[in-house]
Amino acid sequence: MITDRQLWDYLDQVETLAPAEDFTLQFWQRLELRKRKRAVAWKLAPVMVVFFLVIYFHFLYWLNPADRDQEKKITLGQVREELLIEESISRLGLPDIASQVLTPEEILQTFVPEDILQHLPAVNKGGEWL
Amino acid sequence: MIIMDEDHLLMARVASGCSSAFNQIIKKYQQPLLNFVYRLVGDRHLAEEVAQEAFLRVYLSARRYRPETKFSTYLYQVARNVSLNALRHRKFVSFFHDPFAAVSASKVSLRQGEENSRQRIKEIVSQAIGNLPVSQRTALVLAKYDGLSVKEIALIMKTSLPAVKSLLHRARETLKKELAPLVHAAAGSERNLQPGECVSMVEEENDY
Repeated sequence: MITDRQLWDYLDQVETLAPAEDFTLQFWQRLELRKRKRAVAWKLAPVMVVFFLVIYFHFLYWLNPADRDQEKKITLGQVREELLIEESISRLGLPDIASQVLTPEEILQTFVPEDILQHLPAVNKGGEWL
Repeated sequence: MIIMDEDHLLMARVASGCSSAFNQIIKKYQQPLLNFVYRLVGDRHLAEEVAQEAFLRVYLSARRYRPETKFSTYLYQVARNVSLNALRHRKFVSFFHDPFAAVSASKVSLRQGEENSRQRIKEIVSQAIGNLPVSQRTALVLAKYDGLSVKEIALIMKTSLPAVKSLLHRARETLKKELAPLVHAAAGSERNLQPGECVSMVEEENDY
């Protein structure tokens, strides 16, 4: 182990740098360069902002919960329609092939007796299919 | 109470648009700041870059500058932050090249009569300083080479007085252990060896 004094003597021997003669000049050149870079960045900024806004709203549109709900409503409506048809067909014991060939309206008009038709809600409400 | 010294007045002039006032600040602080940074980062080119960047940041934020502490404290704070960023960046970029690559003083050989032995000692001491943790290194450099008080160091490092004292103590102890072989080598060379004879305090002769 060495003493504090010896340590300080060794530390005194560490190299001391002299700044470059043109240190100040380099500073002003660097400042000028930085200003130019900033100017270019400011010019590009609006383009970048528009680009990111487009990306943002693009994703916002597709990820919007309201849009998703709308999709769900349509899907539910279609499902409900399908279920009603299938229920009607199965209750009447019609062959499956009938549903492939005829439209739902034709099936009802062709195969369903009048008294049963009266109980179908869609028909009761103005006579139009759903 | 805020005391407006010469530096504060210069910064006020810079803030009001007088760029030439900053020349005086650069001239006054370029050498101490460059050496402070050099002792932190251990590389001349990087030190110049960091010192320039520190001055640049001070200049660009001149309007936001508030003379709450001494200007030198503020300048050293900025330089320390830039140095730490540079060290992090260098660590990230280069895993294998490090000017402070772990070379212990105990593994270094000195040859009596060697012309650059004094230079080697400088390198070894620099190396030992560079091997210290950054916080200890910063405290030591500010205390030893910039002659700052513990209070000023605490302000620059944004820490408490006892923490700075502890850092300085640990730095000194580590350096004493690291540099002890140098003293033994010097003593050995004076007592036993003839001129021209190899003074080897070393375990591994051909490390360099």
